[in-house]
Amino acid sequence: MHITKKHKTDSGGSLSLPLLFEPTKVAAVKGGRHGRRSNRELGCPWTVHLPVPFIPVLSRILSTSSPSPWSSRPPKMSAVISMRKLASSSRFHSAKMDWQGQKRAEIVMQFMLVVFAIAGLGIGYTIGSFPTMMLTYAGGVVITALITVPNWPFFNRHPSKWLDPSEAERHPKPHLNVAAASKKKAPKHK
Amino acid sequence: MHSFGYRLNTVLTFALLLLAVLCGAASFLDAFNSPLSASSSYVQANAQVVKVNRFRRQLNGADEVSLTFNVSLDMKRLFTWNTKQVFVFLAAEYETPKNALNQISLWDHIILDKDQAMFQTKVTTKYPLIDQGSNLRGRKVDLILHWHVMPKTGRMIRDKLRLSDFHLPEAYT
Repeated sequence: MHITKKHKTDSGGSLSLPLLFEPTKVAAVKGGRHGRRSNRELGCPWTVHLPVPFIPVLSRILSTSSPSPWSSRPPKMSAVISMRKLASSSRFHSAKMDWQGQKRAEIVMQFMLVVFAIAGLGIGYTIGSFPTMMLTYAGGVVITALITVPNWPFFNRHPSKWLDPSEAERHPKPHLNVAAASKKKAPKHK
Repeated sequence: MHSFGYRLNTVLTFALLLLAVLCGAASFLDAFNSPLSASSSYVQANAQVVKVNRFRRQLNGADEVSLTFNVSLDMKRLFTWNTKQVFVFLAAEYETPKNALNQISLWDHIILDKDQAMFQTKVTTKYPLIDQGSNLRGRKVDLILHWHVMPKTGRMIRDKLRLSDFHLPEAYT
């Protein structure tokens, strides 16, 4: 379900483009667990993932020069990431969780669900009541969902600093360097 | 985990997975405490035939018997926290020249609760004992009590216990 595109950057290390897509329609960067794993394993500066489901989110990523999104330093963007969703896009950057918050939310969710499952089993077994176990676990699921699913402020303590759109306008998109390919062929023609 | 919907999906999916694990654990612990092999020692029962109500031959040539019998059961130890109900039925088994084994259910009952699991009743056969043919005169019939323990989650346990036997009369009544 996840398509990973890995690109080697130039020595400047600041520009990559997904070659198979049109410039206006590119997959979104997702700071999920898979992104982190790929970055660590392959050492690429960034990876592009198609989130599941793909359809509602289309974005244009022009470049990034940071390592994996999980790093504590906020990624330095030299161009804007613009997202175009079916809903309005202006709110997208503002109220969501940051990368650290997402990681925290995932860990908290897994921990709490496992704890409530074990607690439900223990209580139900000692009391000898099956409905007690089910109700305890259901209550635990609801509490976990209330804590981890909405965008609470404590999940947004390290927000990423995106570049201002007006700043991006002043730096137009550079073209790919194809001179390296033609250089290789030149000596053969001697 | 970048959007509300994604996190909600993750929470619900993981919760469902843990629910399956929880049910498996409940079933496993339950079976661990009351082992399957000793299930028949958990039950005490007795059944005696009081009288033969009717013993006749039907028009299509099959024998038909209707009985009254006393049945007393104690199945309290079969009930655990994971038991939904116990289905118990009394079967008559006998051998004929045509079939090596005939099993016919005479009476059944559903026990929903541990409190209802011990009782004695005098009951007539719910389902008449009808033979394939006409072999029941003077036949020795065994009464065997079967039970199915149906859990809330997990595997159903089936077992049986041989109670008593009786002889059918030589002539039709």
